[in-house]
Amino acid sequence: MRNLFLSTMLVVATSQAALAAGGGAAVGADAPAFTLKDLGGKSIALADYKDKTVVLEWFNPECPYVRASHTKGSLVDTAKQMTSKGVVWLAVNSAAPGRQGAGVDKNREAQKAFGLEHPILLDENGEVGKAYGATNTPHMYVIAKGKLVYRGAIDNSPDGEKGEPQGGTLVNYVTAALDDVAAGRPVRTAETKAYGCGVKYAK
Amino acid sequence: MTARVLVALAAFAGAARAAEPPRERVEKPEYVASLGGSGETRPWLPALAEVQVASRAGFHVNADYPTSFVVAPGAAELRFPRARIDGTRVIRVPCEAKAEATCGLKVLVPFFVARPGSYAVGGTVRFSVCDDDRCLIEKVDLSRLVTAR
Repeated sequence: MRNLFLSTMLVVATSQAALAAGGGAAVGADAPAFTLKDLGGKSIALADYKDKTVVLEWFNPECPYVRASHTKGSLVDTAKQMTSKGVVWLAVNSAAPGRQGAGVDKNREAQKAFGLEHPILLDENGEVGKAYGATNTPHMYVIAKGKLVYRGAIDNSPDGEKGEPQGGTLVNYVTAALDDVAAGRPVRTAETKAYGCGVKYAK
Repeated sequence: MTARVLVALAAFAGAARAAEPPRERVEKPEYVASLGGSGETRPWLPALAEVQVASRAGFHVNADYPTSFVVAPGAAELRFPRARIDGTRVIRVPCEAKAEATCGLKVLVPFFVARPGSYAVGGTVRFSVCDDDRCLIEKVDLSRLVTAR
């Protein structure tokens, strides 16, 4: 009984430590499983891509950082280029109904305006976003063979337009991580601080 | 005839918007941006203009955004030691009510003039403000007249 109590306390403490360290799935851990519906109502499960490299992009069509990234910044055509190499790219919108960027119509318009060919998944109750610890839009995750290998910003230019790279040289952290995965080496920059708008979870 | 007048008025309004000169103070529901400092100086004396951004109505300054002020090229007699001010030279003003957030920005812009006269000192401040529901990325042109005697 005492052992059970101690084990339970350890699990609680570990979970709280993970949350304190940024929350959600940690790099190196199993990527949290999910099944979400796309804008057409089709269910898509992460488990469908267990042998693939998957990119999750937290998305909000009305966030100016997302718009800048998709029209001038590091997300312009990146998903198309990566999917042509066999990567699975999924956008996830965790905005709650009634909040900025929520709803099928707005996301469908953005999909057209940004020329996106990958699915946008709706996570209106925010469960998947919270499981991953997604705090920003865009907030990027790379999953290789079911393990999280990168989480953070799309790049090192927090204006979203590639115009202000920290250190003077633009680095697209996601394509760099995908290159590392494709080459079979550990991801060199596995975690960065995401920038952008806050995810519009239910209040 | 009425339609023609309306078209002409619309064209005039558009032209007026396009030609809108930079101002000393721009007020929006989400923030106030202003350019202050002494309006008078003397030739060759160091002077300072002060850019200020204050968030309003539940908004805070997004501290992750790379705030910058880029000076507008002016008269040849108006000199700026730095054409762009950013990074640690941008002063972040904490919120009074919320200790964790930034509610204002301040940028000191050094300049001097080489001859007596009136000069438009200005530039573009780039920043981002957010509240719980939305973020804005703003590029505001500011300018003020400085007289050197």
